[in-house]
Order: sequence, then structure tokens, then C-alpha cells
Amino acid sequence: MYCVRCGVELAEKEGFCPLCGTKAYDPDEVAKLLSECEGKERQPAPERATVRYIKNRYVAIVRFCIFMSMLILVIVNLSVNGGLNWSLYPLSVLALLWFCMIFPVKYSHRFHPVILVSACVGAASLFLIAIDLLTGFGRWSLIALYSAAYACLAVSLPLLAKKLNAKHIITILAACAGLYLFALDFEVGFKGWSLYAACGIVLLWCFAMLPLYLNKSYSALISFIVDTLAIALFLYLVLMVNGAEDKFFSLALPIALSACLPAILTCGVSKAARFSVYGILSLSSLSAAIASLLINLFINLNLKAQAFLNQWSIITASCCLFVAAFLFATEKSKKIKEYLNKKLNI
Amino acid sequence: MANLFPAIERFSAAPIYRVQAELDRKVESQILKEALDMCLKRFPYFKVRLKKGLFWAYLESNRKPAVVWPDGPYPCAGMDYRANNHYLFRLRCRENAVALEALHALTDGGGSMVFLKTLVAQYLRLCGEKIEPDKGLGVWDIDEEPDEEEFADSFLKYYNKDIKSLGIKSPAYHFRGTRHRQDVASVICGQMSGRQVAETARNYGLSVTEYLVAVYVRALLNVQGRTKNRRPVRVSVPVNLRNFFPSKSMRNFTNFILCEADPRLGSYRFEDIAAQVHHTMRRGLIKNNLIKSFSGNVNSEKNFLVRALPLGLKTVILSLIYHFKGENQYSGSLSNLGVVKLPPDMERFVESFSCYLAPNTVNPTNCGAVCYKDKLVVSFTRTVRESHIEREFFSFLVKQGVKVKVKSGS
Repeated sequence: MYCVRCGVELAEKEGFCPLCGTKAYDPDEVAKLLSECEGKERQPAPERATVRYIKNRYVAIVRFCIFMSMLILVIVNLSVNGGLNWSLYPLSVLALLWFCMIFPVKYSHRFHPVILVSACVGAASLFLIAIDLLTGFGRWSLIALYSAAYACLAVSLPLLAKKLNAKHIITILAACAGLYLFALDFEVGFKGWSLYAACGIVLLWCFAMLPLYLNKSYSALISFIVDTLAIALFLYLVLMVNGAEDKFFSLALPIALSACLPAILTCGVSKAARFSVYGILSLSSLSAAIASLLINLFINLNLKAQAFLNQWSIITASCCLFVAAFLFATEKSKKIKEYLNKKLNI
Repeated sequence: MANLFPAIERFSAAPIYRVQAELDRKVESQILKEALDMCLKRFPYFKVRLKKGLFWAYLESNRKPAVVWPDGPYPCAGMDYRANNHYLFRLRCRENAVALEALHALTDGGGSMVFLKTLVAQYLRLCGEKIEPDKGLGVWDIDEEPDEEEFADSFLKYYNKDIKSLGIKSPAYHFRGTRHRQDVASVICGQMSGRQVAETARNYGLSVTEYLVAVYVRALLNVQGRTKNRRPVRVSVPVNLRNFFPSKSMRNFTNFILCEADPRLGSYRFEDIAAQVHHTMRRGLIKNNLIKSFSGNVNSEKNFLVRALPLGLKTVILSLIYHFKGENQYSGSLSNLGVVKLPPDMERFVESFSCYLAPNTVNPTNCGAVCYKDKLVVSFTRTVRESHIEREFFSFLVKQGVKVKVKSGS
């Protein structure tokens, strides 16, 4: 049995062609009916011109409109006032408009989009400086310039600097952010706030980025030590600016050391004992318990409170000790470790 | 223990495929069950269940017994995992047919075919036939100890860590039709002579796979020609990477090549499509290009942000990525398992093989092909009523002089 429309042979059980639903016919009729079908073969669809080159037309129209507007402005200003004065403002707006509308479209094939956007942002900054100069240079445009420069750098550096690692890019951006904040602070008459921000950036960099630059075997230990120093320095700076240096040795430094020294010890011990992640977490919980108790102790000593310890530190330390005990048991039990490894595998 | 991308293993829309062997006798489910239990000792990586961790789904050894199911009316229908004792494959039998339906999380077409051949050989042995194992032909010795390398993920062995994820292509054409109700997939199989197809393919300078892909692309182009807002037609062709990279792994080790024809550029003659498919396949099958194509996915899996996402979020996000980077980029799949060979003492008991690919949520039609004893079986599986693509496909083969015998149902 054959299908007269599709020309395929049909399995014995098929009463209708499964492809087109036509009733199955006797094979003797196939040759005749197929020849009829071939005559009705569909013509291919005509080719369509789907790509339209509208770019050049768009550029020409925009260029013409802007040029005509500029010309009219200049003529009107010259004829009414005998020189160029007020028209400079709309002329600079039109120049900016021309640049932002034409440049990205015309050179989209030649430059990276980041460069095009950066160029437009740069042009907008220049426009603001021009306006600032025309209105007697109040220096406010410089803030816009710094912001635009930093925004362009932050966007373009990761996309353009292909040879740089992410860590180098983040470091450069962090340094630039610090400089940007300093520049802003100087621009509005140095009040010192940028110092906090810059030191905060340095502190964050020490926390997040420094381990990536260190030798892997000792990165955690060294970075914890450097973090401790950075925290101490930051605290000293904050206290110094606020005229409370005496609190540094009595309160700030002991608290910082209470938090950091157990962490440093955790690193050292887990490295020496070759603990797995559960052992490290167990030691970390133990460190957190010790740190909470020590911090509470130093605060109470500084405040000359009656009790050495408060409820909050005891509760925190108890919870941390419980977690530490559970994790230590996991470290020592192969069965629990395997189960958790499966469930928590990352 | 294996990490799995959970998004594409959603139980509701799991990409199931099926390999089937038809024997010369009625299949007894009791004996088949016995053969299955014996085979699973040799293939312990199939005796697993999917478990959920905090960050990943993983495979864990399954202590429950595997089940043999009577075949239903529709192949590759959704699996009831609980009823199936949480196995990621389903063994079905009907009259003289043994069918293995599995998820890609478990293994690929190559791995499934080895398992099916070994299982059928063991079944025949239990029926009293004398069949010697032949590892080269995919009939393994079930008394042999499994090799450690069979458990390994070969993608991790061959990927290049410097290759970043490949970009997303524009959405491809997807056939739209009247959907069947859930879990229903119609099947149309075309049987033809493998030698005849190979000769026809040779006239165009193509291999059989390339020829079938070219015919499939042409069918999709013609079906789309009747609609507005035309989009590129792309056919995804799975490639068995074991043919290019030495690997004993029985886990999934396939990748895909996308063969494209864009109707917006004008109409195509079949010769144009054939040339395009041929060059795309030749280029895609260069070893370095294969590494490039799968390294991006492996590197995404290694990305810390991806790894650190909890499983629930990962499922949602990766479902979207799989949609846009996976099924949305192609119009259909054509998986050719190639020529299946059996040891001479087993060949006379097996009449035919066939392969089915479950349609996915975006593409309602997929195609599988396999050749055994010169009988090439091309099976289309679809979740819509209309069979325009199949009609274009098979009627073109007939016009090319290939004698095609069509039957509906598996």
C-alpha cells in the first residue's frame, strides 16, 4: 500500500497515511496519481530583500536638522544682537546632541560600544564645563567631570582590559575610587571625609582582595594578620580624627585583637592539624565564642561595669560552642562527613 | 558522586530518549526482569537515584529493585519516578520489543545502546541461547568487574578551562501546532534501506547523518515557508564524543552541532542546504572545535557563583539559561546512532533497532535514526497533531528515489 500524496509505502496496518491522512490506495493506482501530484509542486517563495540600509539616511537627516538649527540660531543672534552671546548655549546643546546622535551610529562598526558610550559621556562632561565657563566658572562642572571619568573607567576597564585579571581590575578601580573621593573632597574644600572613605576602601581591599595576591599555602594566615593591622590602623585613624586617641589602646585595639587573634590562631592550628572544612569551621566557631567573651570583657572593663560578662556574650558563646562541638564531631566521624559532603557539595 | 545541572532534569519536562530492540520472539517480562537484575551488577552507574543536595542534585546508589514495565501507547512519556523506584531509566516490553527509556543525566545514546545490547544478550541467554560477549560490538560480559573509568565524567578530562561560555544565538524557528494532551507523543517511523540512503547521500558528497540532517532542514524550511516572520532553521545534531576522545565513560559524553539555514536570506536549493550542512558538520567535528563547544558549559558549571547558588535558585535560573541557550536555539534534533552491529550468534535473534527522542517544550518534533542489518529506521516523535515536518521529510526522500515504508506508533 502506498500513499498517493506522499509517495511513501504504508505499513500493512495503516488504513490512512500517517503523514497526510489520505486514505491508503491500491498500489496499481500510485504511478498515475503521483504524476498528477508532481505537476502541482509548490513554487519556492520569492527572495525578499530584508536588509535595509537606513544608517546613512538617518545620519544625513539628523546632521541636516542640527546644522540648519545651528545656522538659524547664529543668523538670528547676529542679526538681533550683532554678535554671538545667548546663542552659544543652544549651540553647545546642539553640538552635544550632534555628537551623541551621530558618533555612536556612524562609528558603531569601528569602535567598541564602551568607547562610544565613554565618548558620549566625555562630550557631556565637556558640555557642562563649557556651560560652567560661560556662566563664570563655579567649578561645579569639575565634579561632573570626575564622576563621568570614574564611571567611564569603571565600565570600560573590565570590558576593554582583556589581559588583566579580575583582581587587578578591581584593585585599579578601588584605587581610582579612592582618588575620585579625594578629588571630590578637595573640590568642595577638604573636610576630611574622603580619608574615612579611602581608608574604608583600603580595609575592604585587604579583606577581599589581598588573599588573592598571596601565596596560596599561607594566604589565609598572612591576610588575617594584615587584616588585623588594617583594622587597627583604621580604628586609630577614626579615633584620631575625632580626638579620642586615648580610647585606642584601652578599647579599640583590645577589641580588634580579641576578634582577630582567635582567627589567626584558627588558621595556624587548622593548617598544622590538616583539618577539613568541618574542622576549620569548628575552630572558627570556637574562635567566635572566645572573641565574643573577650569583646564583652573589654567593653565592661572600659565602662567600669560591675559584671565582667553580660548575657548577650554568654548566649552567643554558648551557641558558638554548640556549633563547634557538632562540627568537631563531624570532622571526626567519617559517616556524617560523607553524608554532609554529598548534601553540601559545592 | 556526580554534580548535575538540575534545570534540564526537571521531572515534568525531562529530556527522555528511547532505544528499542525487536526480537524474533515474544518477550517474557519475568525473564527480562531477571536479566535486568543481573546486568545492573555489571552497570552499577545505572543502578542510581537522583538526590537533592543544598547546591546540586547528585546520583546515589539505589538499593531498591529495578522494575520492568509493560509498554504504553506513547514512547518517552513522563516517568513516575516513585513508582519506578526512583530509577532514572525505565525498561518497557511489549510483544517482541524491549525498550529502554532513560534520562540524559544517566547516560547518552551510546551508553544506552551498550546497556540494551548486553541486556538483550543476557535475556537470550536466559531463554537458552548461547551468546558470547563481544565488547567491541557492545555486548559486554556481565561477570566482568566494572572499570573505574566507566564512572568518570569525561567532559572534565578533556575540557579547556580558558574557553568561556559561547554566546546565545538568535531564537530559531519552532514549529507550532495543536498540542496533544500532556505526556502524549505520537510517533511516525520510516523504514528504508541504509545502503540506498548512503548511495543517495554519496551523490551529494554527504555522509548518511549529513544527508538526513539536510533533508530535515529542508523539511523545516518548507514548513516554515508557509508562515510569516521567518526565523533561522537550526537542527541540533548530537555527536558521540567517544569517537573523538578516548573514553570508557558510560556517563553522558555527547555534544551538539547546530546546522543552520536562514530563510530570510532567500530560498535554498537542496544542494545549498547539503553543502551548508556538510561544511558545518566538518567544521564542528574538528577536535578543537568540539572542545570549544563543550568547554564553555563545563566552565559555567565550575563558576563559583553558579556553584554557590542554592539548588532551588539554580533550578530556576538554569531553566531559563537552558531555554535560551538550549532548546530555543534550534528547531529540532536529529540523533543518528549509526550502524548497530551485533555478534553473529546474536544477530539472528534481533530483528530491528529503533531510537526515539522525546520532543521538548519548545520544539514539538524530534527525530532519531538507527541502522541495523541495512534497515534504517528514522523515527519522528511529536507532541502536536500536525505531521507536516514528517511529511516533507519522507516525501522528499521518496522523490530522491529512496523507498520509504511508513508506520505510525512505536
